[in-house]
Amino acid sequence: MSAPSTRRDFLAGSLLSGGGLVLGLAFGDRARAASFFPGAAVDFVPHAFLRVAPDGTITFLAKHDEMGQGIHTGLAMTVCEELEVDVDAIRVVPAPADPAFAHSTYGIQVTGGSTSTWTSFDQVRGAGATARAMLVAAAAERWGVDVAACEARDGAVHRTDGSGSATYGELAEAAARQPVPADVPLKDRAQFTRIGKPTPRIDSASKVRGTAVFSLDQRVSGMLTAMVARSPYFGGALKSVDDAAAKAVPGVKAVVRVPSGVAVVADGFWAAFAGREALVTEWEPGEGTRMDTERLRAEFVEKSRSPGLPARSDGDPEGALARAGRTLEAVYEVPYQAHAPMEPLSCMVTLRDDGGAEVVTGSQMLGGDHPAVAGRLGVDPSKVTFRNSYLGGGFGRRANPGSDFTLEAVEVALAARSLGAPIKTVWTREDDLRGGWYRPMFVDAMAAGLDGGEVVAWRHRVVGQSIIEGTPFAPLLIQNGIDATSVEGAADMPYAIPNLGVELHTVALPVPVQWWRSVGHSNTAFAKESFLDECAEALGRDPCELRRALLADHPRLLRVLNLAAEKAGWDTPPPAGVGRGVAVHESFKGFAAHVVEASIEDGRPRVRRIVCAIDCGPVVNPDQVESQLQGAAIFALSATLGSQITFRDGRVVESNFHDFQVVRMHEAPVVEVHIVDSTDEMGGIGEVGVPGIAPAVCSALRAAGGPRVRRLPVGNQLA
Amino acid sequence: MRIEFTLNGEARAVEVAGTTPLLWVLRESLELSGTKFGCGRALCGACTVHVDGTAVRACSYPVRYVAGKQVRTIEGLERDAVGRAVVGAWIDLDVVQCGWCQPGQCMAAAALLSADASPDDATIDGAMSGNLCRCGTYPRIRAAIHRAAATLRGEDGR
Ligand code: FES
Ligand code: FES
Repeated sequence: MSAPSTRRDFLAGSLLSGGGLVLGLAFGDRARAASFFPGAAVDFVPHAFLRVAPDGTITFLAKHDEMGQGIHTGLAMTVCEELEVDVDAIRVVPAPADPAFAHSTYGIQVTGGSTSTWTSFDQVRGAGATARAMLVAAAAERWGVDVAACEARDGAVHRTDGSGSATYGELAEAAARQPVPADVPLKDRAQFTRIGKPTPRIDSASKVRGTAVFSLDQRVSGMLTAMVARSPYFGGALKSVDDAAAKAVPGVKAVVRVPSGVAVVADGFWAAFAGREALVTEWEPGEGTRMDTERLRAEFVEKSRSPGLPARSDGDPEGALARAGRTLEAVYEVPYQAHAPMEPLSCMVTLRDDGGAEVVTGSQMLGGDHPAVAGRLGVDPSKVTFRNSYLGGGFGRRANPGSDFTLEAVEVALAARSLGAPIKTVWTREDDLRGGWYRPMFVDAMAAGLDGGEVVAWRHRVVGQSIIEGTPFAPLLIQNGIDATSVEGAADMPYAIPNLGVELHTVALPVPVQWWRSVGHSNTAFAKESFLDECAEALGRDPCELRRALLADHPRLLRVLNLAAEKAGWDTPPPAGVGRGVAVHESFKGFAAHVVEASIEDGRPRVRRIVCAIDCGPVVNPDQVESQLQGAAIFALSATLGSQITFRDGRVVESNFHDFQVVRMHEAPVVEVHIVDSTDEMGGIGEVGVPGIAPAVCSALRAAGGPRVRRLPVGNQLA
Repeated sequence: MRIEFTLNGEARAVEVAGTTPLLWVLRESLELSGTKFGCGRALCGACTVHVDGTAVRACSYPVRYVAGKQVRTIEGLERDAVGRAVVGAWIDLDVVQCGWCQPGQCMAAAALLSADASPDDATIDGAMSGNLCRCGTYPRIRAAIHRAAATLRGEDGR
């Protein structure tokens, strides 16, 4: 089997040296580290992550962005475990843009790929342990005793004979004079007192009370607000603009041209909105007319009838399909899908006199945005500072490979430079849903050969746009014409089927596409798991039993499958009218199984209960694993049941939450989460709960007496 | 125009176009950014505030209609027992993920609990289905409403 190079392999393969460099940067240069903590001259700053002030304040710079996944709490628990201090005794601040905070394996500062916990675990523990060792050394020196006679506990160093103690604050100045130890041992798992225990989020209270600051909440005095009128056609261009009425709107300060369209700069959101409404624009559709969902569906399906580029070939898939006693074929389809983070995008730019800029944003990828802005301004990155905020949802959208909303905000600031003001460019929900960067539309053509009660051949043909093509990641992630993210979850599918082919047709279209929570898996798992159920039905086998038989060599998948099935009561009959569906899938080094109970009421799907089991290896904060799995289930359920982005005559049809339908309270099922007590390799969480939902829901609806739904969303296909 | 109203118990006056949505007056003129923007079309509930005790969508509520009225935002929610119970339950159960929708969720929940001290699940569905959460925190929102109701009834709710 060809191991596809996914995002995580890309880092492992290409950027291992980056890992060492990261440690070097983060730990090596203490003067530079101190610069991340303004006013830290006399404080203890052992490295880029931590500062202990003489007043006892401990500040921890979080290298990963908090977008709801609880990573600030998880990182805080991790550093506190080794630092020997309680989580609520430290302050967690988002890291500035700097290579010191690069992803430990991706090599640039980014939060994504469900990697934050496992890739930073040892590094952040090392950060805590290093600081602790220096504080202990300072205490030992003060008392003239051996370090072995000192013990760090609860934010202080204590003499083991009970004869005295000193708080970290009291030791800070002395600790700052200690050499940074080269190699500090980390705790064994058995010694953990914080990691692994359900721990309250550090950001709950401020988010509930509305005091947490998000990008859209950021303000500085004299700030103006901009909104951009963009082409309604992807690949389109501005033909004409009449801005007279817009300029007459009270509060509008300027109307300027930017590469993406026409920006209205005004005193506040409402004036910018009203000004943009008053613009009269005409657009040349250009290539954009190619975008029409019904036409594209037909084109994709037509393409899927011919062989694509091989992504995997085991045995003789074509021969085995031809020889099989019975063959099944089915075509699965998923639409473009918007991330629709609840907080619409925004980015504030203040241009500096030295040619640089201050950027305040909500980004998942400062490591891309920072050099992009410096490049656009033609200055050294040291002249561009970034301040990140809490992210009101991300789901991939805020890690834009082209830094789209960041660079656009810079363009607006440059075009309106004469106003001499900081300018925050804001997006409405309509801008967000119609702004592109979607999860691509895909067609998956499946074929299976059945013989002797077994699946003997399997062919999975994926048709869709490449997310990676045209990005800096292309040389690493596209090999022999295959974008690894297009076939992830298909080319590495685990079922023991002797003749197995996976093929890819890559389609080029003008709409920009991007990773959307679970990326390629959001498509491939739907086709793979649904079609396996179709095979089970054709063979008269139980869907769980068939999966078990095909997963004999995959103990972690088997374990989550068995756990979910047991907790859901798979072997007992469901309530009358209710069907059960199951899915099991590995993604992002995490292993998840879902059992869904659903019924059909008045021709509409009703999902009643979702039971999930996850194995992500050792867990930092079980309560947040539960929360992520609940959230992932409901996020995925929206895309399964209702939400989609469609095109008619070159334009996006959907515009806001009335026609981009996401799950609401009355549609939200019970979600039960079971975490495997695992000592296996640590893996991902945030995206792992997404891929299994669509197939498990559709199989449950089938089991409830409905048709096999092969096109998402389910919408009114049951009526 | 000049508009006078009571905001979280304090008399306030603003000088703005009367058609400006209350949301932008709160967030920008009055610098209270706890009330969030999610859709601008009364579709998501992120901007939920109370006007004379009723939950309204501030994004679609022209500010002139609050003249002479009592406006309550998340910043003033804990001024009464219902609000404190809601905020307390939300924090205790760690409802939030990204958090953007949550002030609006809390305002909607408080309006519900003020009208119905013991809502059942169907009542919660009815009262809360206008408040979207893209992060999918609905199971915990439901649990937190039950918890807050129990607290208000004097039970410990656990
Ligand atoms: S922003 Fe007001 S309902 Fe969505
Ligand atoms: S917590 Fe993110 S939208 Fe509700």
